[in-house]
Amino acid sequence: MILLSSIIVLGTIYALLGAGFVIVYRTSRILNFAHAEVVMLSAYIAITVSGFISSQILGLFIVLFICFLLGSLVYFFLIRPLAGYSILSAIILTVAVGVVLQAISILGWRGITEVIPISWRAYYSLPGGLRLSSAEITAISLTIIFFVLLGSFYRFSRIGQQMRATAEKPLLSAQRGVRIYLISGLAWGIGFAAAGLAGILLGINYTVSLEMGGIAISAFVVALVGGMDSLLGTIPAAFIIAITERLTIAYVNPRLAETIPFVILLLVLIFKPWGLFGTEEELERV
Amino acid sequence: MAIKAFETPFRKKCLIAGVIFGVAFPFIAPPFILHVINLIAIASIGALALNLLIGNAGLLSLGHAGFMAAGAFTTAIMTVNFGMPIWIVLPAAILIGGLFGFVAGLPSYKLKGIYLGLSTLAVHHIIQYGCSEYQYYGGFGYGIVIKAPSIGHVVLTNKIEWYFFLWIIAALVALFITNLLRSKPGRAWVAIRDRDIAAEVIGINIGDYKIMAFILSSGLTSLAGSLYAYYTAVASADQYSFSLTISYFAMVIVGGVGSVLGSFLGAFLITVLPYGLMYLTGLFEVSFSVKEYFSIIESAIFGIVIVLFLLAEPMGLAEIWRRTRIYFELWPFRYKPLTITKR
Repeated sequence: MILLSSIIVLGTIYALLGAGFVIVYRTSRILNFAHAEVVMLSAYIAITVSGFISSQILGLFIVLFICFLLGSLVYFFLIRPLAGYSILSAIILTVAVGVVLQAISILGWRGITEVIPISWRAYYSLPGGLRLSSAEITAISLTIIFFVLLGSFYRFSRIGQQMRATAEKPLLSAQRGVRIYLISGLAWGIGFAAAGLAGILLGINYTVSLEMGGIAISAFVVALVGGMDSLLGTIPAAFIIAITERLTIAYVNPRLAETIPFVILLLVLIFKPWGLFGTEEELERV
Repeated sequence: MAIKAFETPFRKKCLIAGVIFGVAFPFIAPPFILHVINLIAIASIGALALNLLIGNAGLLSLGHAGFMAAGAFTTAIMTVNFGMPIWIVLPAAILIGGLFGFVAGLPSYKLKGIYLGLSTLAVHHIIQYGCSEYQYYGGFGYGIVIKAPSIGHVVLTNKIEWYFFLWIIAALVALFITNLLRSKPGRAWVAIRDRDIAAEVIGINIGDYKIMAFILSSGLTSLAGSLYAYYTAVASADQYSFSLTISYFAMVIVGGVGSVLGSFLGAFLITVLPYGLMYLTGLFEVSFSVKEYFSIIESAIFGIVIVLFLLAEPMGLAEIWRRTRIYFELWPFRYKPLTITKR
């Protein structure tokens, strides 16, 4: 039962991680290799913010806003000037940004290991013998809220529609008056904010440490298994990864746990590279 | 190649002077500088291999450190467990690296360049896991110690012997890659990079050539890893982390994407940069914390350097070098005359 609850929590956080990666990929076709570092940095920012802001909901929004700003800034100052160059340079650029962000979080917080404090501490027993802590419930509920909000944003709002249009055909949507740079900048912001939320949830459930990037790197795997262009696909993919990882820890070898997602990644890339819910045409689009 | 180098009397003199300087250099240089120069030779081989993949074939590899680790650990296992000589180990390292490159490149039959970033990242982590498990269960602690290799009767212990050995290999690799880029595979890679559909239409087997680029590049990377292990006399899984890949990326971007000369320039700058920084921090007696986090600052600087070069000078130092050369060739004029010059 402890195994089950840990799988559920890890799965929801993985879904969030994958979603952030997919949002960025869908609009700009750029694999964001800085994703894992954003997760770590946001968790460290959350520790600092929780130090001097008592209201936790306000603190959450502040951290998410910082991440949103960071994403938009990275897009407008670094990615947009590279428009017209090969997409390869933009990807290498995200790798470099990731290194810089990692250095910022190491130098700024000196590699401390801490748990993000939350004031609501309790345990709840659910029917069926499942026992969840308040931190786990927070993670699950916030992820569900995030996915519902994101889904309705994409489905109903005007900007969300424009975002989908930009993802589908950037040239045509630019012709029809969509400001694709603004929309892409927003999408980068939302993607980074999703990474930030995932970082906070990781921080309250496990610990904030320099090894967090190792967990967050599974985002690539989740996004790929679910299909690079499919937001919904991240949810089943996240649970597949979480189940394999936890079972490996429990029954095979704990040190294999960080490597097993990459084995899955390689197998998926060789046999079904468009993922579970992705479209096959997506492979040709880059 | 050789003919072009002897084209004019001036070039002939420059080449002769360069060779004399290259031979005399290790005998006059202080040992520490010689050490750095030897590291540059190894880095050049790695940068040439990565540049072949990124610059010429247009494929992304984030597993460079993993392939180097494969070479280093092949070396370690073969010398420590079986006592093999270096002339068996080096080809074996190339073969093992090529094999891993084949596995990492397998998705390239179905996929375009950028997805390979993910598959090579996966291979990097798998290799690193394998290496650290071997190190852990073998009880090697910090790393596997490798004996100095011998060629014939000469045991490579001295920095001067290493200097000649490494730079001859680096020159051979550079010559090999330059020739390869001028022949059929090289042109096929450029065609695939620029427009893969058109390349397929004119009869290039895209999948085969992509895999070939991968095998070749990772084989040479593995060679660099093997030489590095021999040279530093130790193989440890911690050395081959992702930040090593970043530094090789920095070499390729800074030097010049798709340029052989650029690989050497990038390897030079990126290898010298941390030592220069160390010199500066030692000189100005900065606070203890800077020294403590030196490796982090170093990789952050590599990251910033990559970003700056990508935004400001995407073709790297090789392009700057070309521009200055043309500037001095044409001086005091800015443009070539309109008549067609003999070239």
